[in-house]
Parts: sequence; structure tokens; C-alpha cells
Amino acid sequence: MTFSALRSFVMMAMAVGTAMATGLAPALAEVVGRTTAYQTNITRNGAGALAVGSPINLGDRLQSDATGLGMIVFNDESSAKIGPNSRLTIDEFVYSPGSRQGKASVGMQQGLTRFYGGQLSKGGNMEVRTPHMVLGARGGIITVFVVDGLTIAILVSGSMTCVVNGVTQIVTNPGYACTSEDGALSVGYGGIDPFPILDSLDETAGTDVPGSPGGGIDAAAFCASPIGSQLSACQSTDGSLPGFTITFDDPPGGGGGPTGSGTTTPRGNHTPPTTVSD
Amino acid sequence: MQGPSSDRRTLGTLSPVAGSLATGLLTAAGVILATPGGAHAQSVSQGYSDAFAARVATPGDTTALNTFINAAVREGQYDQAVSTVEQHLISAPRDARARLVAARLYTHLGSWELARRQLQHALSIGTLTPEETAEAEALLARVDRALEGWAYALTLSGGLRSEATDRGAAGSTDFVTGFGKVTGQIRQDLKTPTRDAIIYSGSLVATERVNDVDTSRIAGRDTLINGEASIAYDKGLPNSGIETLRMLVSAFAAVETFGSGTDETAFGSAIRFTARPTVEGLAFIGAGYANLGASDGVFTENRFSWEAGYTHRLPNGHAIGAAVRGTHDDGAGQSSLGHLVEGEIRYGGVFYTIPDRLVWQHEVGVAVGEQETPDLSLGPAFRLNGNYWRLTSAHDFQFAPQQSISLDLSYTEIDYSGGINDRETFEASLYYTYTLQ
Repeated sequence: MTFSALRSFVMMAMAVGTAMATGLAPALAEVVGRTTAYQTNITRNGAGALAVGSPINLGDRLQSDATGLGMIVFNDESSAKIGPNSRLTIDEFVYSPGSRQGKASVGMQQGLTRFYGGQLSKGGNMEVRTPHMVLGARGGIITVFVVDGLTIAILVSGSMTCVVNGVTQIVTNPGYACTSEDGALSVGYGGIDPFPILDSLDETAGTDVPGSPGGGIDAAAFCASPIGSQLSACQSTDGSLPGFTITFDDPPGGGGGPTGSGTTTPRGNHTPPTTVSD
Repeated sequence: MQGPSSDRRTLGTLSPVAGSLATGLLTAAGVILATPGGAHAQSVSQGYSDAFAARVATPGDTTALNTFINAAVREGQYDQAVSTVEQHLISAPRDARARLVAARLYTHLGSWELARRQLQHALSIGTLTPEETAEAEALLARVDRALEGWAYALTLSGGLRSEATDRGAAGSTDFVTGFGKVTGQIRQDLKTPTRDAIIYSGSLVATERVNDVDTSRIAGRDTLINGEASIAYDKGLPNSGIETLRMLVSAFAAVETFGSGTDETAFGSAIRFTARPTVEGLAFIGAGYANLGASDGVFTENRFSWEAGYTHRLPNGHAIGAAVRGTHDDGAGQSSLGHLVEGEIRYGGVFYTIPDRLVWQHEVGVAVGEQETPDLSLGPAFRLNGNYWRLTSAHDFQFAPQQSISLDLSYTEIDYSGGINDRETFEASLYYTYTLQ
């Protein structure tokens, strides 16, 4: 070993040791994906906002603000379109490009996200974990909505496995949804265009004025669907149209820390926010 | 706060290619598989990997996105194609052509709800060409029907068929026929989480000999008819322990005229199970029964059939499949009038494309089998036994979303036992197809 090589080795060892001693993220964090598009802020680990090309590392905690959409693409070609007020964690990602085998697990604590399967999902090795449901996407696309006490998962294509408290249901008809409310798993038709904000025509989805606070995620369309109308969270309490929105306590664009609590608001009664359940 | 991506260019050439490919592959989905790629196979797969790397490395480059979308569609990776279009729409939400591409892809995936939303957006933006607008409106009508639970497909075909048979010392025959074919299918979605449906289908083929050479197979100048109608119940059984298990139970009626008073009329039923061990694989097994008692000039009264097989989509988007099938006939006081056992291997896929103009699909197959049939000229007690092999090559040239020209070729060689002359047959069919959905 040459002197310069030895010096490089020692310096690298010192850097790693320092990072570990100070509790910082490892200097050689495993990159499992990249940010490929965004409209507003998606922050990582409570720090700065992601830019196009920003790496996504194993263990990252991602959070979007109250408006806009973002896209991250993982190494196995799977991807996630992150809607407003969403919190995700990259809990597990093991992928061998040669064999196209491995496993991925994404935690979703809150918000709205559409997941597109990659190579791992084709073998049924991709899952999304919410506080209320474990979802498996098999060669397909699913839309997941999480709010206090409630998870809604809608199949877009392929097949979707929903597990709640040991009960499993498999959905293979696009448009059908699993819901978990108060620990009970239900399956039914999720309606036409239940969460339109994910396909918004606005430059910044959720608001016509970029940078201004959005109205949260409007679930009125889903609440009008056959399965949504059965949810207690969708029942109108004030005579207005059924449905609710979720908003953050944190101001939009403020980096909304991972501890930001999602609250739900009945449609037509946005202030003050009230928690529907949980 | 950071601003959104500054790239606002449109996904120029993306839409028609992805759309026409999707339509073509949709048509192929009902067949056992699709085309050969030969030397292209590896390069296509490598091209896909390279295109994915470019998508991630330069996500604002619409050319890179366009390349990957087309590669993904070509290889059947529709979820990745959709993801890439939607990535672009985050940066350019008012790109109407990209919305139309997304709608085509969602339609192909059977996600009618999102297809409808994308079509509504594409039309509302107002920047589609008149042709694109017409396509979007037609697609929207189809999507709305599907959302109501109904989907249909009607194909009209017409063309020429040639057959040349060499029986060695017994001589040779050849003839040319013109034919017209209508096939239709209506799918009624029963609105269940497992996509259960009732499927009504039918087909009618009318064949008229063109030349004057008499043959033993087609006598006189009759217009020959081959028709079939069926109703099927398609049910998903995902909670059976096999996640992708589906069952198809059907009842059918069929008639085929051979001329000279020989008509085969069948009433029967069949059951078929399919499962996907992986996303790329499809296994199937089935059995059927047909009663031919209403036929004229046919000894067979009962026909039992069976099949089993497996197809696998390769990384290059092509597919390979193998199947075995057979029939057993009885009737006319005979416990066994004849049988057929056959094994077949097929390979196929998209062979060549000219963006916006042509999708060429090709499928080749090799089959070997053994058959025993009664000699119609001598009676049910006299049998023809033979081993055969068959080579097929089917080409489909789709030059518009609803139109294609097909060329089917086949060569069959039968080696009979008992001193009967062997037979070599070459068949070629050239026909035009118009599809309505």
C-alpha cells in the first residue's frame, strides 16, 4: 500500500468514526433512489428540501408540504408520486439488479401517495406499511391515503394485497379499494377519480397560486363512493357534503417536521381543524 | 422554498407510438404469446436498462423520458411507462398530448377511472390536434362504457387463403378461397373486487372457393360456414391460496359445414383455470366436452378435450410458451373413434416498429402430435393413424390503431401408418382486419 493510499484509508476511517460518534447519518448512506420531479417542497429527515436528482437513502424520512406533487424513483424502477401532506419512510430496500430480486418496504404515516411497482413488486416483494394496514403491490399501481385512524388503498392496476389485523383481502379489479377504519378491513368500489389532486392540472397541485397554502387533500369524491360512504369519517356532521380534508398544523413550505400532526377537517368546515378519529 | 422544475417542453413524439403499441399488445394479449426477436432480443433489453438510467439521470430531458416510455411499453412494463408520463406531468401538467398518452396506458391497464380523468384533462386543455381530439373523444366514450360495466370488441376481417397439398403418389391438390370473418365479444363487469365478469362471444366465418380445382376436402362450390357462440363466467379466486387464480366456465354452440352434406354441430361446455406464478408467467389447464349428435355425416357423438400450458414473458418483452392438448372422440357404437395429442412451443412479440406508422408482431410455433381419425369413405371401423409436425409463422402489421394486415403461414407434414400416402400441406392466409372497441 502506498503512502497516499494509506493516508486516504486513515482519513476515511476517521470520517466514518466521527460521523458515528456524533450520531450523524453514515457518510456512505445507501442510495436507493432519486428525486425526479417536484412542484413544491419535499423535505428529508427534517432538513432541506429535495431537488431534482437528490438521492433518496435507506432510512430516509420524507415529508411533503401542503401543496404540490413530487416523484421519486427507486433503483428497482418502482416509484412514488407523493401528494400533499404526506410522510414516508424508506424502511427497507434490498435489490440486486442482476437477479432483479430483493425486498422493499415503505412506511407511510400520513397523506396521499401513488406507488408504481418496479421489478421487486413483480415478485410480490414490495410492501407499503401504514399505521393501520400492510399493503402488497404485485406488478401494479396503487394509491394510498392515510389519515388518523384510517387507511384507504385503491388499486390502479395489477393486484393488491391488504392485511389488517391478520385478515387478508386481495383486490384485482382496478378502481376497487381496501379501507381500514377502527381496525376493520373492508373492500369495495372506490369511485371515479377519488383523489383528483394527484392528477391536478395546476402548476402547483392544490392551489392556483404557487406558494400559497393549499386546501389539503379533499376526500369528498372518495366519500361519495360505495365503500367511502360506509366510513364513519365520511359521514356529514353539519349538513354539508360528506368528506373531509387533511391539513398540517405546520405552515406550508416551512419544512414541516416529521412530527407534524395530520388532522382532519369535515368538508365545508375547515377552521378550526378537528380530528375525526383517533 | 424551491421552485418547480423549469422544463416545460412537451413530450413531442411520445403519444402515438405508445398508444398504438399499447393497442397492438392488447390485441395480442388473448393469444398464447407474441413474437420472435432473435438477435434484437438482447439489445432491446439493454436498451430498456439504458433508457431507465437516462430517465433517472436526466429527468427533465423529455427525449430521455420519451425513449424510456416507448421502451417500457415495448417490453410490457406499463407501470413504469405510466410512472414516467406522470413524472413529466408534474413538471408540465398542461401537456395535453402527455395526458392522452397516460389515458391510453390507463385504458390498456383497465384503470378506467384514471383514463377518464386524463382524457377529460387532455380535452379541456384544448391543444390537441383534431385527430387527437377525435381519438380522445372516442376513447372517452369507450371508457365511459367500461365504467358502466360494459366493454366490447368487434373485428371484421377479410382476405384470401391458399392451401397446397402433396400426397406423393396419390397426387396433389391446391385451391384458393376467399373468406370473411366477424368476431365479437361483450364483457359485462359484475363489479366485484376480483374483476368477475360474464363474457358473451361469437364468431362467423364464410369461405368461398375462388379457383375451379376440385378437391376432396371442399366439394362443389358451396359457401362454407364456420360459426361459434359462447357465454362464459370469468371469476377470480384470489383468496383460495393462489393469489392469481382465475376460473373460466363456458357453454358453447358451434357449427362447421364441410360441403357435400357433411356438417359438424357441437354443443358443449368447458372449464379453464389460469394462474400467474410470477407477473411474467401464466399457467393454464382446462377441459371440455362437446356433444356432436346433431351433426350430419360425422361419426363422432362425444368429444372430450383437455389442455395445459405455460407462457412466460421474457425480459425483452417477447414471450415463450409451451402447451399440450388433446381430444378423444367416441360414437357410432365405438368406445373410441379417434384421438389427438399435440405439444406445441411458441415464441413471439413485437418484432419491428416504425414510430407513428407501424407495429409488426411476429409469432412462430412448432407443434408435434399424433392423431387417429375414422376414414369417412370407409366407415367408423377404419382408421387413419398418423404422426405429424407443424410449423407456423404469424405476422401482424398494425398500421393504424384499429387496422392491421396479417399474413399467416403454416407447413404441416403427416406420416400415416398402414401404407397410406404421407401428406404435406402448405397454407397461407393474407387478410385485413378492422377492430372496433
